[in-house]
Amino acid sequence: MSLSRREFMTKAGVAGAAITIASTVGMPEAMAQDHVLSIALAARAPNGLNPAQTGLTGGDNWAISQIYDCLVNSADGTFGIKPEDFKPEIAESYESSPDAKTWTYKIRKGVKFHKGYGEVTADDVVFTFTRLIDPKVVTASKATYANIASVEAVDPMTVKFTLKLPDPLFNGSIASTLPASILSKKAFTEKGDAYKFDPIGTGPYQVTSVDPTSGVLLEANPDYFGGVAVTKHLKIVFIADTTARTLAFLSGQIDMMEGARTPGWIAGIKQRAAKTIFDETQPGSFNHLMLNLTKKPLDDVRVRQAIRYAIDNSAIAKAYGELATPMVGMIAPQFEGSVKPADLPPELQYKPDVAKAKALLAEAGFPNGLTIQCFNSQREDYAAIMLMVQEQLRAAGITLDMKMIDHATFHDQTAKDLNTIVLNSSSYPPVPTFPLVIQLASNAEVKADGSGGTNFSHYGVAMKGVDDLLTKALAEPDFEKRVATVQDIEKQVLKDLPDMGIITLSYVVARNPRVDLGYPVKSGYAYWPLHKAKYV
Amino acid sequence: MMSNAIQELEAVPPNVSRFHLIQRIILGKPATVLAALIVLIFIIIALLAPVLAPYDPLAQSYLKINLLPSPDNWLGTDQFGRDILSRLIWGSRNSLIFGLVSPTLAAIIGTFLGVTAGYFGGIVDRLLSRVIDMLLAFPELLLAIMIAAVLGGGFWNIIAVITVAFIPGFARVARATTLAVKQEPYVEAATAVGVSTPVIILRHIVPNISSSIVVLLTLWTASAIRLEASLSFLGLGTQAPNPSWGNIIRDGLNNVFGSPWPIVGAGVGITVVVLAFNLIGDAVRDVLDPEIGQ
Repeated sequence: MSLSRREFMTKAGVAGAAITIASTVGMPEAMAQDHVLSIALAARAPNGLNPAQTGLTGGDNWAISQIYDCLVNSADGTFGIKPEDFKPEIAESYESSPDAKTWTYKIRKGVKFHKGYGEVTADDVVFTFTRLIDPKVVTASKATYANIASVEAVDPMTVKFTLKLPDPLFNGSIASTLPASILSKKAFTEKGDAYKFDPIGTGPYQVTSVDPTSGVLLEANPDYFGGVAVTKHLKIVFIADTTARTLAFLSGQIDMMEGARTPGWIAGIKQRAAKTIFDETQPGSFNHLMLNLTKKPLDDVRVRQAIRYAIDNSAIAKAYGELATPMVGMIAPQFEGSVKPADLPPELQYKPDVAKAKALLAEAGFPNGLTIQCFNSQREDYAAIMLMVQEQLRAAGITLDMKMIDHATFHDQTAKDLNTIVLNSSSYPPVPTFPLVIQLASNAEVKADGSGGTNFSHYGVAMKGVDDLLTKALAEPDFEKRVATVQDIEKQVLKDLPDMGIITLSYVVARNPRVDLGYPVKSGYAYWPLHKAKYV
Repeated sequence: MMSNAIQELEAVPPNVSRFHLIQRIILGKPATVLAALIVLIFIIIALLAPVLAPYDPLAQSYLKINLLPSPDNWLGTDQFGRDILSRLIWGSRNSLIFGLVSPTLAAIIGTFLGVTAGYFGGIVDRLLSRVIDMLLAFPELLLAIMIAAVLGGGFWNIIAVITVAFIPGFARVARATTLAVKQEPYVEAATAVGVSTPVIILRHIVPNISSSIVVLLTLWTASAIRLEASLSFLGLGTQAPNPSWGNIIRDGLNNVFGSPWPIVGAGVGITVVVLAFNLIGDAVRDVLDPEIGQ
């Protein structure tokens, strides 16, 4: 059969059009038949699937957590809060020395890497952690792993970690974190730069394709040690725009979507699709307000107290409904180390009191109120929380002259110490010392050249901080005693008010009722396993 | 032929009173009457916002999130429980201020530059014209975004941004008309009898080019309202929590499934007011600049 050029072009055109139409219009049907489970995240495109790389988005984390396993992990849909809460994953058992400075993991036999890259041995584990602690290799959250003095293979199936400071919660603070997902040494060395988009893990799903527009397509790993995933195909889609994502969800094109953290969003979805299921992590992100102690008049504790009295955490939490809980101190009320209002002396309870706020301001020399300039991110949760704070402060005579700038610029400018009142949203695992080390330690002080940390208030430098207590807590091998010291830190911070907890805000995923996750989501990181999920 | 011409001359009396002129502009067409009415209502709403708005536009209430329109809240409430109608009414103030102040400032500065370039010619003209050409090369919105990105948001910055964006247009028109008027015998006569340059410019040039400038001013009032809304929508204009039609749409876009009314309200507001100002601009042009109109 011969084709003229014109015939060929016509036929190719028709075929092309047919493919295009099929891939757009026909997508929902095709998905329903093949049971491709899909989830859409609020990000523009995949940045990479190497768990230890920097600059990963929430969308990447979702994919990575399906592709890899850690040594141990929290039970599905929860956070391990106490040392005994962790279940073995790649490790089949673990033990800690009495001083909590040596942790030994026995590796499970027969855990296979994807696509024929062999079985996991101590070599792979040592390779993974050596990269994380090697100052010359760029990996994520370097500070988190700095407590590891050494990692060595005792025998081919046993790994021993030696720590600089005792860590009774090593499983939570390091072994179960996403960047510590176990890499295949062979695949990583072999593939080099290509590994980023062609990763090899041991998880329930392996990568079929990665594409900026269609997202990450995964397929069940037939050799998964925990049993083959219930749904064979999983698709992780990246749709940054909330409205577009919501429309895709409401039309049934996707099964799950990352929710918007604005007041009233859940109610709005329920109005249109009453049966939608909302999976929420408790507590989710910690939202703190950090006051820059080097900027007048925030150096005056009375002004900081006035701000604390003017802000009604509970009202802000109520605006979010079930998604938020009011915070008391630095640590989410759901986690160990947090303090309860009932345990605090009355002067540290800060019951909302506008009159008291005004009186404190007058005492500080601002009888007619004051104006503070700051900037804030346009991201929906940042914008919503700060608009509510701004309105509450207005009632006490504090005008927040707030510029709304894009999220990346906000982070960039804040990291250069240019902000005065900084809202900071961070997701912390239930490791009591984490938020304190990251936001209060003097060595985490923000620096004008951008090389500093996230202590945006200069606590411990502009005024005496909690460094001594923090050192004491970090040197304590006993978990309960450590928690008690952390609570002392909480009280000191409530006295000094360099940093105040506002609300915790759940990470929320809306789920079509046709999908059953296989377990309830209660807590955990902003991603969770999907290998038990199925169409019902 | 002769008598015809005389009749035409009589029909257009050389000294039309201002009142008559405004009357002719407004009552020319029914559409213009309607447009004038809308603009009048818009100005009244903007001026009387503190009286007309039923609620404080910034007051939040978590008990009243995303309410549907009701007798209490005519357009419902937004995701912070703020009254949408009150926010739209206060937002109209921003639109009015930016709509009037920026083009007026731009007209004054632009006319000064344009007349200077046109009247003096030579190196002055060439220098000024090149600068104006350079600014004209950028669309107004792009120019405004670039300036706003450097200066940041805030009231006076936005006034400055829109003013700068509009100056080249005014300068270009002022220069062209000045070049034409400069050739007129009465200007030559004034020069011949020794009238000083500033007086010639103020007495003879400016009054004779003013009609084109006024036409441009009315048309660009609409553009300024649009530009302010666009900048606020992009987050570069009026800053939260202060309402402006642009940032009301922006806020509403994140909450379109909670309440569509902020977007609908502000969208209709911008459309109607911009259309009204454009219709009036056209009418003014028809009357003041009959050559273009016909």
